[in-house]
Amino acid sequence: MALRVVTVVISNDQPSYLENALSSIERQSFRSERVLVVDSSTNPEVQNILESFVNKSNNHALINIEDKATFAELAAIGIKQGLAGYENLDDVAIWLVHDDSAPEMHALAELVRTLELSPLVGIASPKQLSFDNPKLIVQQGLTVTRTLKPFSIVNDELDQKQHDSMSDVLAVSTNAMLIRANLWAELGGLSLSAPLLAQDVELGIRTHQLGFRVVVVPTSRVRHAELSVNNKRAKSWLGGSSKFALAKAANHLRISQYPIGLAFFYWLSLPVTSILQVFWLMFVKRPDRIWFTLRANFWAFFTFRARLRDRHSVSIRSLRPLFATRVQVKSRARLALETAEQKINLTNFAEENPKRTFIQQQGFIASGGLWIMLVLAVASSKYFPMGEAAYGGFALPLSDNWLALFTNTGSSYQHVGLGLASPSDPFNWVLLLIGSITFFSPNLALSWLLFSAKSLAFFGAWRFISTLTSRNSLKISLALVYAFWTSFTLAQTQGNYPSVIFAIVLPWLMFSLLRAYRIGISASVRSSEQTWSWLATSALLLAVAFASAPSTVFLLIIIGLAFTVIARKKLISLLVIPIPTLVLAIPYVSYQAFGNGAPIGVLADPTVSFVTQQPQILSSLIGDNRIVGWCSAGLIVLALVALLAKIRIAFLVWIFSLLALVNLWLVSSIGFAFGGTGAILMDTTTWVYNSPTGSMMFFALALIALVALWLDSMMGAGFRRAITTIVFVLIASPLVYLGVATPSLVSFGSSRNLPAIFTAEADAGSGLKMLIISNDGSGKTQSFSAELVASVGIKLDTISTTYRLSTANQLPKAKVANLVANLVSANGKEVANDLKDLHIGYLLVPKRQGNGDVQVALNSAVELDQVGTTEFGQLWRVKAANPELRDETKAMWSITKGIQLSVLVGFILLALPTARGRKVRATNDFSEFEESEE
Amino acid sequence: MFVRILRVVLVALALVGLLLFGNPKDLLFSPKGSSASYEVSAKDLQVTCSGAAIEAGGATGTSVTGFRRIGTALVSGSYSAPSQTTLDIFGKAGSPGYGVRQDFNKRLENLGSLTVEDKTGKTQQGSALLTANQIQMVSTKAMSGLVGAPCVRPQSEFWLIGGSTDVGREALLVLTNPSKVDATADLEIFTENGSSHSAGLSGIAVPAGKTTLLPLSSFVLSASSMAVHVVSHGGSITALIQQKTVRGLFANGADYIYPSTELAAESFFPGILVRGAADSYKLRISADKYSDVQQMLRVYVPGNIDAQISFQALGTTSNTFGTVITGTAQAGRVTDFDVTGLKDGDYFGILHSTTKVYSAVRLVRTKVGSSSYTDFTWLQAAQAFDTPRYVMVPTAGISKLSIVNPAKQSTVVNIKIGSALVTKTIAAGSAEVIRATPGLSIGILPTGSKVYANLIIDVTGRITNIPVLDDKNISGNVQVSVH
Repeated sequence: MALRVVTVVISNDQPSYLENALSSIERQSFRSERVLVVDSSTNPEVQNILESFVNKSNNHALINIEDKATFAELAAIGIKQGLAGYENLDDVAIWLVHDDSAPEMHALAELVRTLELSPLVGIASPKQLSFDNPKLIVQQGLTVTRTLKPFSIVNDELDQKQHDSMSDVLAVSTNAMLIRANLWAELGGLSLSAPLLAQDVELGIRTHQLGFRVVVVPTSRVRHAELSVNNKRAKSWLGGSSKFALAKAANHLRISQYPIGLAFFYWLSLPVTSILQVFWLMFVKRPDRIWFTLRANFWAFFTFRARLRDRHSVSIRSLRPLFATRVQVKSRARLALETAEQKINLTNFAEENPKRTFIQQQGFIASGGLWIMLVLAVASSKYFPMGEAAYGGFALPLSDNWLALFTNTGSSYQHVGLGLASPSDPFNWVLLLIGSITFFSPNLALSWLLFSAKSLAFFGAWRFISTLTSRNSLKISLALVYAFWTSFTLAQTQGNYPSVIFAIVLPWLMFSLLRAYRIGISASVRSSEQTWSWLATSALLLAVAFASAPSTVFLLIIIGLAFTVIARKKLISLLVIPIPTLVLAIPYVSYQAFGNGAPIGVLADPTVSFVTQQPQILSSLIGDNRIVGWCSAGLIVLALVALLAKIRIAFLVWIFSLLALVNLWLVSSIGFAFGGTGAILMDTTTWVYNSPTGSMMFFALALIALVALWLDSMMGAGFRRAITTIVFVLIASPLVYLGVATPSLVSFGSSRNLPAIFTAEADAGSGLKMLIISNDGSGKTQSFSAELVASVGIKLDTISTTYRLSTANQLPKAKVANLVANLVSANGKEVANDLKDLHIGYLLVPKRQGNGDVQVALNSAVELDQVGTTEFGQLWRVKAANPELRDETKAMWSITKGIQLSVLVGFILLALPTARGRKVRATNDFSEFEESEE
Repeated sequence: MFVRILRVVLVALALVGLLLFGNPKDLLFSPKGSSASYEVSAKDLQVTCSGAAIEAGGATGTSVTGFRRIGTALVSGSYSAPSQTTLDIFGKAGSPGYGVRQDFNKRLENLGSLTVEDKTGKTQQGSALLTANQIQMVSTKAMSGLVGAPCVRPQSEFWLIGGSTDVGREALLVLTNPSKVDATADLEIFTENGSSHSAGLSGIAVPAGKTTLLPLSSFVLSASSMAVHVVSHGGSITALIQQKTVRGLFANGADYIYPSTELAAESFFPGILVRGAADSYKLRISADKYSDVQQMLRVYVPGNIDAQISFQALGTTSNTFGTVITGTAQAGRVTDFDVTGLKDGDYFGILHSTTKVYSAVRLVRTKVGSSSYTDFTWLQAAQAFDTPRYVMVPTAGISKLSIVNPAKQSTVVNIKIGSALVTKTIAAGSAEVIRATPGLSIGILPTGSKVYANLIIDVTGRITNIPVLDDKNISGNVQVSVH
C-alpha cells in the first residue's frame, strides 16, 4: 500500500539550521503531501524564513505558537493539524523533523519504503549523522540499560557501514522519525508528562507494546546537529542542561516502567539514594554530576504523580532483548575513558612547557627514601609508644573509645566543666581522623603519629621538592632539613600535636596543590579523575592545616591567592578547595566572633593551653641549642644567594618567607587567656601564646624551595655537588643531631589521667563531676585554681577553645569560686548545697608543692569523705552527692555535625585514588547518562 | 644583575631587621576567663607547742624504745585581739580579747595548743594576733643545752633543715597532731649521700591529740648532714627535730630544729651572733669530737640541677669583718659548708644560689675552762616581711633581736616594746641588733622595704633562736580562677 506522508517540522529559534532543514525537505526524492511547520520561535528571522517557505507552495503551512510549549505539545499540535482532513489514516505516515537536521535526498524515500514493505513496522528512523561531519554517526537507535537508563546504541562512530545491518531497536530519536498516523493516533502522541529525553524511549516502548516494530533504516541518512543534547538551545527547551534532562529521563522511565512495587520503592528511597549517589560520584571523581543528579532526584520525588501517568498495564520484560547488553555498556565506557585521556594528552602537548611529561624521576623508594624514613624512625625512638597514650607537655590522651571520640567531635554542646552550647574545635575532626586509623584504641594512632612525625615530614618534603628538582641528593638533604627544622623538633618534644600535624601536612598540601594544577617539573595527572583526587586531597589537607594552626590562616590565604593567579583558568576547581575548611571553620569562627565576642580567639592554637615563652623570631629560628641551632641560618644564606640566580619566582618566594616571619611576629603578639579543660594541670596563670611552628615551617619550606630551584638550575655540576654537601653536612646533619639530642617532655603510659574510681563511675553512666583544686602556681598563698571536670574527663578531644575563651557561665563560675574559697579556708561554712547544685561527686587536690594546706583544709570539711591518695593526688568523695543527675547524655549528632561529616566523607571519597579498572567500572555506571541521546 | 643584587640587599635588610628587632609586643589579648576574689572567714588561728624536751632511753637512759619528758618548757606568748575573740590556752577556756596586747608565760609538759576563738571569723590573723614560742634549759646527764622553737600553726608539709645522726649525735623527729583527725605522715630524708630509701618512711601514724617520736637514726644511721621532708595526710600536724650532742660521756649541746619556710635562691640569716670564737678554736684543735664546734651552712638542693652557692657573713658593725664562702651544692643532696674565720661579733648571712635551695646556719657557742660548755642552735633562712610582726621575748636570759635590711636603700623600722616605740634606721644591706626586754613582746613594724629578723636567746651562755613568723589561716580575699 502506497503511503502518503505528512511532514511536520518543529522549529524553535534556529534560523540558519531551519533554512537548511526546509530546503532539505524540499529536495526530498519522495514528496510529502503536506509540510507543516510548527514554530515557537521569537526570532523574527525565523518568521521571514517560514513566510518565504509557506509562500512557495500551497502544500506548505505554518502554525505559530506564541505560548511557551514543550516539544511534545508542539508535535501534538502540528500532527493534529497536519492530519486534519484525512478520513482514513491507515495509509498516512507522519515524518517528524527537527529544525536542526538536514535529511539527505532519499532519506524519506527509504523510510517510506520500509513502512510500505513491512506493515508491522510502526516507526522507522534514519541513521543520524553529525551535522558538520557526515562521516560520523551520532546516533542510530536508542535503548535503555537494565536499570532503564537511556542508552544510545551508536555514538560518535565513524560510519564504515558497520551498523548497517541493524534493524529493530527499542526506540529511536524523534528527529526524522516516520511514524504511521494511525499508530500515532492510537498512542496519543508523545507523553506530555515525560521529560524531553524520555519521550522518544517511552514512545518506542509503547509502540512495541502495541505489537509494532521500531526500526532503524541505515540507508536513510539525516544530518543532525543535536542542539538540545549539546546544550546549544535555550535551557528552557530541555528544562535545564542536557545532563539534567538525561537524569530526569532515567528517573521518569524507572518510575513509569518498573513494576509498581519496585517503582514505589525506588521513589521512596530517592532521598537515601541521592545521598549514596553523591558519595558514589565523589568516589568515582565525578563531582560535576552531583548537582544535576540531585536536582533530577528532587524533581522525580516531588513529581511522582506525573510520572505515574505514563504507567501502563503491560510489562516491559518482553522487551529486554532490545535492552543494551553489558558488553555494549562496557565498551562505551572504555571508549569514553580513552577519549578523555586523549584530550588531556593533547592538552599537554599543546602546553608551553611540554618537558614535564617527559621528565623521568626516581621514585621515593628507588631513591632510598624508605630506608631514610626507617632511620628517622630509629632516631625518634624516644617517642616509641611504650604505653597506651602520650602525656607531658601539650600531650593529653584521647578518649578511650572511638565512639566517645566521635561524639566529642563536631558537637554543638561542650559537656566540659560547666558546659557551653558552642561548636567544638575544628581540630577535633583531625583527631577523629587520626583516631579512626586505630579505632579500637584511638590513642595508639596518635602516639604512633608522634613517633613517625619526622619520617612523615621527610616523606612529604621529599615529594614537595620532587616537583622542583629531579636530583635525589638535593631532595634528601633538603627534606632532612625540613624534617629536623628546630621549631618542628621543639613541637615534637613538647608533644604539641597540632603543630606536629601542621608540620607534617604542610609539604603534602603544597605538593598536592602543585599536582592538582600540574605545576612543577613533573605532572603525572592523566585524567580528570586524578585531578579531582588531587583537588580533594588539597582541600582536606588545607582543612587539616587550618584546624591545626589557625594562626597561619593569613599565610594560607596568600597561598590561595597565589594559586588563584597561577590557575586563573581553572577558577571553578579552585573554589572547591576551601570547602572543607569553610565547613569546619564557619560554626567555630562565628561562635568565637559573635558568641564569645572574641574574633581574635579564632587564631588561638587548639588543645591544651600549655604555657610557653612568648616566641621571639630569632629564638624560634635557632631553637634552644643556640650553637647547633645557628646551622639553620645556613639555609637562609643559601636562599639569599639563590636570589642572584635567574629564577623568576625567587623574589616572590622570599617576600612570602618574610611574610611568614611577620605573621609569626603578629601571632606572637597576641596573648590568649589561659584556662579551659586540663588547665589546672598546668602550673601557671599567665597568658599563653601560640606556637611559632606554623609560621616557621612556612618559612623553612619556602627557603628549601628556593635552594632547590637554585641548585637545580645550576649549570656547574661540581659547584652544585659542593653546595649540596654543605647543605647535608653543615645544615641537615647538625639539625638531625639536635632533633635526636633534645630531651622530650613526653612520656607514655596509661590513658587514664584521673582517679580510677571517678572514671569507673563515669564509665558506668554517672554524670557526677570532679572538682580539682590547687594553688595556682603564682606563689601567692591565697590564690587558687579550680576546674570542674565533667564525667567525660580530661581528654584531648574534650578540650574546647570556645569554652576556654568564653565569658559565659558567670553565675555558676562564681558559685564554684565561692565554694572553693570556703573549702580552702576551712572556715566551717556549709557547702553541701553548692556541692549538690554543681553536681560534684569528687574533689581532687593534685600533688603539687603548696597544696598540703588545701588537703588539710578539705579534711576538715564535714561534707567530704577522704578516699585516699591516688597517683594524681588526694581524693575526697562528697558524702551526699546529688543523685538526681542532669541529663548529661551527649548528643552524638547535630545538623552542623551531619553537614560537616558529609562534606568530609565526600571529600575523602573524592580524594581516594581509584585503580584504573575501578575507574572503568565506575565510569560504566554513569557513562550511560552521558552517552545516551535523544 | 644589578636588580638581583638590589633584591638580595633588600631581602637581607628586611630579614635582619625582623630577626633582631622583631620582638613580639603585647598587641592584643583575648577575653580572659573568670578569676574572682572572695572574702571568706578564716578558721580559728591555732599554734601548737611541742612540749618539754624529750629524753630517749627511758628512766635509765638505756632503753631503746622509752621516751620521757624532761621537766617543763617555758611557753611565752603574746595575744592582742578585739573583744569578740577569746584565747584558749592549752585546752582551757582562756582570756577574752580586750583590744590590748596581753603577754603571758606558761609552763608546759606535753603538747599544747593556743587557739584564738573568733566567732566573727573576720579578725585579721597573724603574729599580731597571736605569737608564742617555747624554750627550755635542759641539763641532764644525757642532754644539755638551751632548746627553743616557735609554737607553729599545724600544717601538712614541713622541711626541716639541720641535724645529724653521726656518732654522739641524736636527732629525734617530733610529730605532733593537735587536731581531732588522725594523721599519717610520709618522710623523705636527704643526706650528704642523697635520698634515703629506708623502710618505714611512709604511713607513720600520728594519732589525734598525740605526739609521735621517731629517732631519725632508725632511718639514716650515720648521717652527718640531714634534711627531712614531712608530708602529712589526714589531720594537720607540727614537726620539729630535737637535736642533741653527746661528746664522749657528756651531753654537749641541744636545740630544736624548727621548720624551714623558705625555698629561695636568695636567703638571709639574721642573728649570727658569734661568741667564744677563740674557745671554739681551742676545742676544735683539741680533739676530733669537737670538730663540729664551728659555724656551718647547710644547703639542700631539690631537683636535679646542682647549685652554685655564695654565702656572705657580714658584720653589723665596723669592727666585725665577715667572710665569703663559695662552692657547689649537689642536686638532691645535703651539703655542709664550714663558715670559718668569724671572730666574736654580730653578723648576718646572705646566701645566693643559682637554683632555689633550702638552707640553714648552725651557730655554736662555747666556753672552755671552769663551767665549760658548748651549745648550738640552727638558724633557718628567715622570712621577709614588710607588714608588722610580733615576737615574744622569754623572761629568761638575754635576748637580742637581729633585723636585716636587704635593700639597697636604708629603711626605717619601728620597734614596739610594750607601749614604747623605738625607731631604728637600718642602713642599706646592713643589720641592726637590738637588746630585747625579757618578758615583753616586740613588734617589728617596717615602714618601707622588706626586712628579715630573728630573735637570739642566750641563757647563761647557752643559745637558741626564735624566728619571726606570721602564722595565719586562709582568710580575707581568696583569689579563685575557675576553668
